[in-house]
Amino acid sequence: MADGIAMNRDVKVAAQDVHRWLQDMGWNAPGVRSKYPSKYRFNPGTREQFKLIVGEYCRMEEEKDDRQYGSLSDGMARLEAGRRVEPRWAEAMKFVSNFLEMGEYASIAGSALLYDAVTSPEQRNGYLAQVEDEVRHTNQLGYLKKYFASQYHDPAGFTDARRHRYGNPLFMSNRQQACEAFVSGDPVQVSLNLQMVAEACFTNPLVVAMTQLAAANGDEITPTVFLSIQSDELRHMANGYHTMVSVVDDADNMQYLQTDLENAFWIQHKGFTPMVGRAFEYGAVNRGDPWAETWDRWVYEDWGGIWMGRFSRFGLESPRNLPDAKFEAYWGQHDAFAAMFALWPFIGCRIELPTPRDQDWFEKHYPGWGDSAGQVFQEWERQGVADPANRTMPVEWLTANKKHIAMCRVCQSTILKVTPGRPGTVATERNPTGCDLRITEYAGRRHAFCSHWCERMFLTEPERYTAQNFFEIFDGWELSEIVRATGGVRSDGQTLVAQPHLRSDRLWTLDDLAACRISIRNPLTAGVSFEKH
Amino acid sequence: MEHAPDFRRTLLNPRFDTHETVLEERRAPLSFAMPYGTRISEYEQVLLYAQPNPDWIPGGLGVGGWATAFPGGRGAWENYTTEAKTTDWFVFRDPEGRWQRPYVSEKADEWREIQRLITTTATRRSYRGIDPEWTGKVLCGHLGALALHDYGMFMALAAPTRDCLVDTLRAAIVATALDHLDNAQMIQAEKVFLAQVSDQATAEIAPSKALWLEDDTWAQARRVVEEIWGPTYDHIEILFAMHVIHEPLFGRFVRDEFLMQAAPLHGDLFTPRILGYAARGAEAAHAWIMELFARTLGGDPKFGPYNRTLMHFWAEKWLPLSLGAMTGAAKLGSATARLRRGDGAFDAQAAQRRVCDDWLDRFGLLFDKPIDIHGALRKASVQAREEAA
Repeated sequence: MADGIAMNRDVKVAAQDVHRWLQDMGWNAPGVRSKYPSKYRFNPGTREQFKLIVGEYCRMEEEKDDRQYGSLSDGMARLEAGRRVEPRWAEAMKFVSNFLEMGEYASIAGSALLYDAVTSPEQRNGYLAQVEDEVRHTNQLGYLKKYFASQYHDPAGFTDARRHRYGNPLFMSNRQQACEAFVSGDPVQVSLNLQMVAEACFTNPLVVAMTQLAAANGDEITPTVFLSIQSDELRHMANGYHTMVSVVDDADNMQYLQTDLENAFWIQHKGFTPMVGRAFEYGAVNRGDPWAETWDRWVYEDWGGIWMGRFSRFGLESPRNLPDAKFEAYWGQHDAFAAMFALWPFIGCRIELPTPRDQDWFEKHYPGWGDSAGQVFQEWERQGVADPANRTMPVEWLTANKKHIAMCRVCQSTILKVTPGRPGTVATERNPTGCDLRITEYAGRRHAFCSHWCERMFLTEPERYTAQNFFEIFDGWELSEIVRATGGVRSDGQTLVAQPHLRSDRLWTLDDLAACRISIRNPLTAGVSFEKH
Repeated sequence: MEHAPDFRRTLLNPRFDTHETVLEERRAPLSFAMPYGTRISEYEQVLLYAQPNPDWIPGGLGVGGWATAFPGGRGAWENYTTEAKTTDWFVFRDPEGRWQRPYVSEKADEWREIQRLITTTATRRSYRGIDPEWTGKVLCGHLGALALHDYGMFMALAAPTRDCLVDTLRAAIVATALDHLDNAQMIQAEKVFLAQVSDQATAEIAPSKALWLEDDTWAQARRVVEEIWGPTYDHIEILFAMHVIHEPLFGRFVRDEFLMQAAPLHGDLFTPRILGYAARGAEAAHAWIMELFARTLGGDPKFGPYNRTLMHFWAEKWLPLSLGAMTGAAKLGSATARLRRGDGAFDAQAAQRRVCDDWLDRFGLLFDKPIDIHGALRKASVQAREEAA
């Protein structure tokens, strides 16, 4: 029999022929348990659907790499694609690429934690493929920044962001949501944050919708990289699905799962929703659909409805905080832009206030924008905050109008409301902004929360959320000293990386910033976020 | 979309083809980093300082602390998860610069070669000369047990992948974890191939698992793997135990000294080529392991002496275990009738001495005082004889 077969050149060993034996490779070793214990019990018989082995995985990724890096280093380089991008959009990409790199990087560790935690060899195999995917995505985003830096006329912000991001208060929210929530905590919570919500829910609007918007703003680099990244994400979504499959059959597990899902959704929403919406609507010159509609389609309907609907037969429902998130997807990006502009010296890129054309678009798609956020932006425009000669910062107007920026202890997002409040939420003396701010005291410190949902997480496990936020760390620091200490200046050692305009002249320097004589304060102890001397 | 006709053909749209004033001449990323070579490399640009450490983790550039901890308060990454110390974790580099692209490219090449090897072996019927006992007992038994050994090594690298404190090391560990899993999968691919062309062969894992779980030949090796995978929590100690001690001793003995040498004696020219990829993975790991333990830790200006003492302590802990595993695996030397004839085909003791000599050459300088590895080997052999008696 053997010779007959061997005459045939078709004797081959396909990836599937090897994969089908993987489930037998594990064994129960006495005393060997995961170093990342879980309150959940995993089904050791869980299978995974992609059925890759290392060799086949690498063959596939090599081909994708050849296409992506090939286009970038050949065709697009010759067309100088990095020089043709709308500047406002390229600046937004400084923030987005750094944010996304952080998430991809942390996911290497998060996926490794998961492959240690589960007991099914096939599941481990699927997670390990994700580990290498995340190395790939980290490298791709590093390459994207390097590429922009080599061609775009203002490389600062693409070049040394891995240093000056630590002086960026908005980075702390990203690090919490797209990094720490992916690597710390119960492995199932990690999977919920990383795979079930961040990847299955938010990478579609972030990565797919953004490619359309990027191209509309002259940026062919981002779609080339992002679509190649997204081609791996389906596998990660499947990994999340299989994590759920491995726990939902156990009735004991179900007592935790709904709450953990809601917590994960809220943390991811607080990081993604305002940040992506801000990048889409305030970073684009040529816009597509309003973010609120994109969010509704991808997050509310596709993920909250169809994707989560698959789990309803197990008793797992869509997160109950989805409607609250939906409200924030309408106004949140405008508040987030206001916070970003107010904190502009730290954000690592250049931004500008909406032009009259932009204002028309915002009012058309978000009725009420002009009387709320729009008024704030016009006031800043009138005060000439973009011009260093005027020696004034946007935070001065906020402080004068009793709008103080706080940071949520749990999600680390900025709490600032310049848009219409949620129906039923009213401004009080304690909460003059009329947003969902909550404050509590614990272990000798005061803690602010953006919402009931973050407060709930803190009250359940306060020991998990103890870090100082930006305003506490830099309490009493003059603004230029923070920028100087965290490396947010260009190669002349004086001009800031960040700027509140897109002009090539009148760039702010450390001296200009120091001349504003403003210091950071901790609003929870000082009652204000900034003080003028 | 709004104004769609204006930007339908964006790439060549003159609307975006503007020349802006260049604001910044510095275009190379990581101006703040110390390059490994004369200038910052592509490998460093796409990876280095991606790890977001606060400044209380040596080398970190951040401020404050982690915002989300594990239940109980352990932060995302902590100094106390390893006994090793350095003034700067970001000094570490993989000398081969294996970021994702070159890694998957090399691995894809290896599998293309394997597919060609399988086709060639099948069509030329090169498998016909393989000793049936070798096929049945060693390739489909013990070689499969080695696959489980590598599977355990892959699992043991999960914690270092999660816990290590710097990006460049994390990428190196991931590549090595994939290599170990791939070693196991390549062996399984060989078994699947042999099962198609040889009546003595089976692709079943069960016979190999029985050897791995129950046979004395593998008992000590399994103990080492489970000891690293399970109760060892220090992620740097795991790397030390695996790639300073166990792989260069046990792995080298079983792969290089036994399987690759004994296979041709049994007419098997296929297995050494498959195992060559595992040897390549081990050498790639050796390159970055030496960078980690000799330069980053052993050469640290402040903690170098401390780390060399720590490594000596770890060596004393792990050497007896891996030498015991090597002694146990010496039983492979009588696995077939041809080997039992004792015609000098495989001298286990001489092979063990060679492996130990090589180990001293490669690793001896890591430690603050000499290590008597041959004495430790003798002890392990005596202990093995006593246990057998």
